[in-house]
Amino acid sequence: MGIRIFAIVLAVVSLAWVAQRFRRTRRFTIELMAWLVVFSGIGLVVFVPRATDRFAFWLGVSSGFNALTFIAVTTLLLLVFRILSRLQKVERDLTRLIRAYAIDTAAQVPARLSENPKPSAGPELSGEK
Amino acid sequence: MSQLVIVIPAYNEARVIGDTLARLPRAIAGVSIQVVVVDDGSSDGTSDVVRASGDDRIILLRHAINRGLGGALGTGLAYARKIGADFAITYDADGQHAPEDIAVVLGPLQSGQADAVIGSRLLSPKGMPGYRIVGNWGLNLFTYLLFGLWTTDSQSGLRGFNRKAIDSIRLRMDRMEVSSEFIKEIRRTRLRFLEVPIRAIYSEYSLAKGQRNRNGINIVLRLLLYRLLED
Repeated sequence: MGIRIFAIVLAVVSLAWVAQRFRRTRRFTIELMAWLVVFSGIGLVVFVPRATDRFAFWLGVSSGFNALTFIAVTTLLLLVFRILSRLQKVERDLTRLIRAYAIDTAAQVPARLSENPKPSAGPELSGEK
Repeated sequence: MSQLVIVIPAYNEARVIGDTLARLPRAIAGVSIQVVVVDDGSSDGTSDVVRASGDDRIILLRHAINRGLGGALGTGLAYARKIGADFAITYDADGQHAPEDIAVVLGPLQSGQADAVIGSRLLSPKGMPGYRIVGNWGLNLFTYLLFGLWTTDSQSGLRGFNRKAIDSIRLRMDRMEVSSEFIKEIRRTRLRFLEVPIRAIYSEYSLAKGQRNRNGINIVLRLLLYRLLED
């Protein structure tokens, strides 16, 4: 019973949030539609649990609960994959930006004014071996 | 005369970079040397130490924020590409490389034997801690399984490239896993590849800064993620 109350509260609050957002933006975007479908779906499953059985049969799993778990896990994995993908792109773009700026502002180290023209104490080497 | 760019990525290396720069070879036969230090967003005054070196062969590139080893090496190679350098050598800032090994890595590039050369610490791993040897072999094997090119030291920081390699290698990884990405790029761009033995100088400092086995797990995970997202 507890999970039902929780699911109903979650669905109602979320649907109210979707409605409020629509009122504010006056735009019915794909994102809003997706949330509407997800939260309406939660409400439907709570009130009509048998509705998932047909879906479970179609998926080839034993119960509606299994079907929902399968769908939830798959969707979450896809979302994680997408977020990681985006994150990697953002990181790469950031590096490109930082790199371009670093190269544009490249600075030669000023030579030390001393009697010794070359400050490096390193040896002189022959290249090809 | 050919131009050699020595790329040194540095992140919070103020303690040792002055010494590392001072020990670089003054001259190598047949090449003019330019040293490119990429300060990768250090907060300990690494850039100040580099500036104070007074060596006008050094070009200082500063990352406004830390982008990781791969990001810094990519910047150094992009600079080498921009100025049309004939050779580029990557060199760690922590003092773990012997300066004379620069010529050892450069040799096969100058003679046209190879387009890319990896300085391998594991061809004669004298002085290398046992756990490092095991960790490195593990990463070598993993790099081979992912990218199909065998090397005895996939995580070496001392590598050399000729102009063909500088122009064709494109780095996309920002962190430590870039070492394996070099191997992938060598394979992808079908560069002629050679390994030469180099000596590693281990100090308490370089052991603490370098790749620990725990980092190895991060590298493996990032490489897997890379394969999953990129290929």
